[in-house]
Amino acid sequence: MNEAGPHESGAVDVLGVGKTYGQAVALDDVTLHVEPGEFMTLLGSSGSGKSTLLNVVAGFTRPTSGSVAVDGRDITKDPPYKRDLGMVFQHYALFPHMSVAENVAFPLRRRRVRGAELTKRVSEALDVVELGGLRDRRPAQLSGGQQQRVALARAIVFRPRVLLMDEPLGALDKRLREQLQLEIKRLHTELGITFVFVTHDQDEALTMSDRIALLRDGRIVQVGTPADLYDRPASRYVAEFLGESNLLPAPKDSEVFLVRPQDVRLSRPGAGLPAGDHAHEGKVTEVIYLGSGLRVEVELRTGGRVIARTGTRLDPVPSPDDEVVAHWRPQDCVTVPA
Amino acid sequence: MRPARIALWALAALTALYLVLPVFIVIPMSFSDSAFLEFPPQDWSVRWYENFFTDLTWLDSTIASLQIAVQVTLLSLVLGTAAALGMVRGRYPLKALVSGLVMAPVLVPYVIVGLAVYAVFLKLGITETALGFVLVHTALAVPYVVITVSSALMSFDRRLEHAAMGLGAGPVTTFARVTLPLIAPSLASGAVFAFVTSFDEVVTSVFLSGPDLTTLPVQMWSGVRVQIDPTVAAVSSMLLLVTLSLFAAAGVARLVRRRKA
Amino acid sequence: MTAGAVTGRRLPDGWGVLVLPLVAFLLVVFVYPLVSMLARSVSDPEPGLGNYAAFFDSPVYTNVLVNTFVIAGLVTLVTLLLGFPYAYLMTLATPFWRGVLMAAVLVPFWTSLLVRTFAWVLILRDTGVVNDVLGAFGGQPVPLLRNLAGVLIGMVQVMLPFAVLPIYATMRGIDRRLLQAAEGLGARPAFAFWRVYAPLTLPGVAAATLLVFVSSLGFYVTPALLGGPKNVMIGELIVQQLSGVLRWGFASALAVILLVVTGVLLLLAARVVDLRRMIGGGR
Repeated sequence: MNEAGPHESGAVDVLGVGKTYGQAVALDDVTLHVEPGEFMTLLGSSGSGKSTLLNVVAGFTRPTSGSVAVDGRDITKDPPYKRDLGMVFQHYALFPHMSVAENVAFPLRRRRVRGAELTKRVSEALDVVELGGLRDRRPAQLSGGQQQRVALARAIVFRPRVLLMDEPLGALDKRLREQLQLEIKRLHTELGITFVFVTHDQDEALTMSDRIALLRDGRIVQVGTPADLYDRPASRYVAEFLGESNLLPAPKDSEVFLVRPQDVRLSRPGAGLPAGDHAHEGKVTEVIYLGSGLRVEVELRTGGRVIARTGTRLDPVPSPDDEVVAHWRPQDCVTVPA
Repeated sequence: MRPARIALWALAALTALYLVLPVFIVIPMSFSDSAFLEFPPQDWSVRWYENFFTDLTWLDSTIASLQIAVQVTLLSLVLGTAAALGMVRGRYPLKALVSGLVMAPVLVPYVIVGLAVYAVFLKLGITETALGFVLVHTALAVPYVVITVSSALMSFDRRLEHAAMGLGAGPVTTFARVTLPLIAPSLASGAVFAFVTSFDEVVTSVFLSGPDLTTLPVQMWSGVRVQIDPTVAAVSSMLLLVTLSLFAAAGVARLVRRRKA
Repeated sequence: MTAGAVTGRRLPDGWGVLVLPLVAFLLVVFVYPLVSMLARSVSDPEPGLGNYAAFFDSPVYTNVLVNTFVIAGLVTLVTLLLGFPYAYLMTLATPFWRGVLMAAVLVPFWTSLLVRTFAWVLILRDTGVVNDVLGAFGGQPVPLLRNLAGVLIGMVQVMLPFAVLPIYATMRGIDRRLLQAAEGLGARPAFAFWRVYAPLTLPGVAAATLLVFVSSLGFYVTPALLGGPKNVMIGELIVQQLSGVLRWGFASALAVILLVVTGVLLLLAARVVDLRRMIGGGR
């Protein structure tokens, strides 16, 4: 693992992992396969088990049942320091008593890298995250974004085959977070190693991931590409977790129809509609100006509400109490198990 | 300023003088030529200092006190740090009882400890030995180490240890390279507490002292108890000087750190 | 969820075993001697409660106990009267003056007890500094040593830091805007202080009271050097019984009585005050 050039990447296999704390179930029979080189995001609200799952892979939490393997080798019983996985922690966990360079050198020293090789690789890693000039600073003297980059450099400097990240951007403000999302994405492409990324932020998950595993109550409810989860949610929960959604009653009680707000169009009553569109008459109850568009809430005559996201150039701009027809193309309406 | 505020300042100033001034009166008196140590001294001399440095009983007791205090410091650091780690991070039965036991030596009056230990040590034949002093003083000093170290451990961010282990450091390396450096300031203040506790301890030492081994505080005690030995004034002045220079050093260190930050 | 929070009759885990060396050490060096002292108090010179009976039968001895409580109470009272305003002023002062006031508390705190007591002997004795000054103005020497005044002057000085530190720590945590709020709501400053601020200082005052009173009960050095034959405290009586007449059993019984009194007070107080924080606040 010390040779230069593109890094090796590893497959991660989680097999039937369960974790209980007394009566509480944190993970319930979780099975997940992560391809080499893949960007896999574990998404879920707090308490869903996503961080526990990451900690099981990292070795900080011992599973009650099941196993974890990297490239087919069972590492369930290995302590964290023998797993050779890179890890970026929620609040960076930079060593406050060491300089930036010492922090980055730490994993290399543990692997007996010394002398010129050590210096060279620390510099390389700091260059990758564009922090070459700050090597002698202490973590306390860095901004949040800079600390995050040091944590990244420290996690990749020893060229792990898998990089684990636990809500690494949670402590940053929105703009910086979006900037670092792109950087992490770039880093993933450059290094080509496997990323396992934990977040509670659906937008972050949709932007960054090759695939997303959505967790709820210690179980994986759906695994798939961002498009899979957004357009073909496996359940009502998935549909509602990822973005805004209109759920309408379907003929069968066990199902609901899902229409995304950006697929809903609004027309005046009596205007001609595209052939085949599903149409519902209703009355506008609220209009919110979002800058990029409008968010219009319509109360349907048949009961229920529909939210539409439209452009601002809509003619005429709807206002509350307007009578409208909300309609959408049949292919934009997805049947989801309730 | 309101009259109430002036009264408050006056009272506080008098209290501060009452706390500090009496101690310093010892310094000029120690240079008095007279055995009665009058104030202000009529004739100045350093004879009581000479007396200290030429009298073997004074020198021996000073050396004994220093040796005992160093050993107490080391032993309490080891026992206290280990116990603090266990108490903060560990799981073990009878937690409340153990905490009570560890804190008890500071809460039980020293006279009682002295009497109780004296009887047992007499049977074991370790009164008037360094071992006896070290054992008792360590029992009295170790709670301070446990308190300082465990409060540092409670505020310690365990994620740093996780990070070290995730980056390839084993438990021992993690402790030595990450945990220990970060709690070192607390270990240092625990060490100072332990050293001072032992070096100043009079009551239990009075029980354990004898012709074979006497500590400095006991030597001073006997120099005040029956008839005043003016050498005590010289010793007191020197101890004061040590205390004050440590204070000054701590103050300077704090200033330097503030400048740097 | 943390392992440390789980208690039970389980065996110690990997970290838990680290408490064992200290526990073993204290059991041998501290607990065993106390237990054997307890045993000796009911077996020496003969089995039974004779030592305790001798204590409670003789007004000479019970007076010492009463005396001990009276002195401890007076010391506590004076210490609080001086310490409370002192701590309050520290919260008002500028950083520089706060540092000066803090140093004035810490210097005696870190100065050897014997040095301080010795200084008082030199100052308070009949030919001491105070009486020299009085004499220079033609006054009669005032006896200040080997009496109650001497004991109080010495002990209050020793105990003041233990009162100022916890009270100051509590006061520092009080939001002074509460006083402004109270005054804004129409309370006069004095009323606001006593009804809003003072009650919030109670945890610190309680800790200080307890710490000072309990510590004072067991004092030996200061009353022995500054007090007279009328001010003997129980600590000194214990040593007298041993050094003079070698009454091991009786000395042990006295120690047990002092231990029980201290223990009961601490147990009662532990319901109100966090003992660990209290010790952490003072040396």
